[in-house]
Amino acid sequence: MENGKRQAEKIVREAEEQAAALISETEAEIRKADQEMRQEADSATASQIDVLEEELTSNMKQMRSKASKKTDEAVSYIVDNVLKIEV
Amino acid sequence: MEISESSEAIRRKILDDAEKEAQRTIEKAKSNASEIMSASEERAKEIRETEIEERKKQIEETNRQRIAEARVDHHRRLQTLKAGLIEEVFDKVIERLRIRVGTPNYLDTLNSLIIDGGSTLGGGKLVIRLNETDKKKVSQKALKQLSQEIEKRTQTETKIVLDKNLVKTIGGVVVSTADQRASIDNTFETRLERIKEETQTELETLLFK
Repeated sequence: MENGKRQAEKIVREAEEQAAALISETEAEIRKADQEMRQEADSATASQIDVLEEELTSNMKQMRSKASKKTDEAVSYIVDNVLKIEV
Repeated sequence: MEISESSEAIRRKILDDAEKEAQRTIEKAKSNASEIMSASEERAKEIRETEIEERKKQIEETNRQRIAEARVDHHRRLQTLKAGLIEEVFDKVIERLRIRVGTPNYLDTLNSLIIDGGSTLGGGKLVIRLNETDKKKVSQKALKQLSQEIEKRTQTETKIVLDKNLVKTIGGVVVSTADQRASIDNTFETRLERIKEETQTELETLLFK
């Protein structure tokens, strides 16, 4: 009977150890998944930011180009307004 | 013989009972172990699902935030560029106005600015303030003619005198009533500042659309 009790205790102890191992394994699995998700998302975000940066560079270039073509017209328009007097 | 058999039967019964009890204990332990395992599997599954989902959401949120920040930063950089390009226009306007004051047409402009200021003030006794160069250009005769022009427009007897104090400006005039209660700042710089505000939308449309 003592032997049976010891065996029973061993079974429960082993089950508890296995359960703890499973939880710790799961936590490790989560950490790994977290790292992978982060890397994947970082890379996707970096690509998106690169695309945005390219768009911005192009928009800025376009803006400079448009403005340079119209600068003289704008200057004349402002100068006329400064000098324009309803006399 | 009978006694011996009976004691043997009792011993066997005790052993059997003990064996059965031990077996029951072991079975119970196995059942407990199985419960522990299935509870931990359940817990592991739950941790996996909720934790991964939670972290996924956090990562997505962080990255959404990064994209949003990048967009805001881009908008800011575009606005800075726009402001810089507009400022370049105004720098060129100043250059153009500096050139303008050296042309023969400038005197007509200056006269118009004096008449405009004086008429807006309603005529009467007026004082005009000019820069050093312009002060030399305006004769007493011209002041008389300008006074007559304002008088004609306001139907008020008008006399313009030249202030001995100078105004620091590229060109234009500050016209004040003699009592200094009212004045019209028609210097180029002040007019330009007013126009900056008034024409901002038109200027942006002209330059960037």
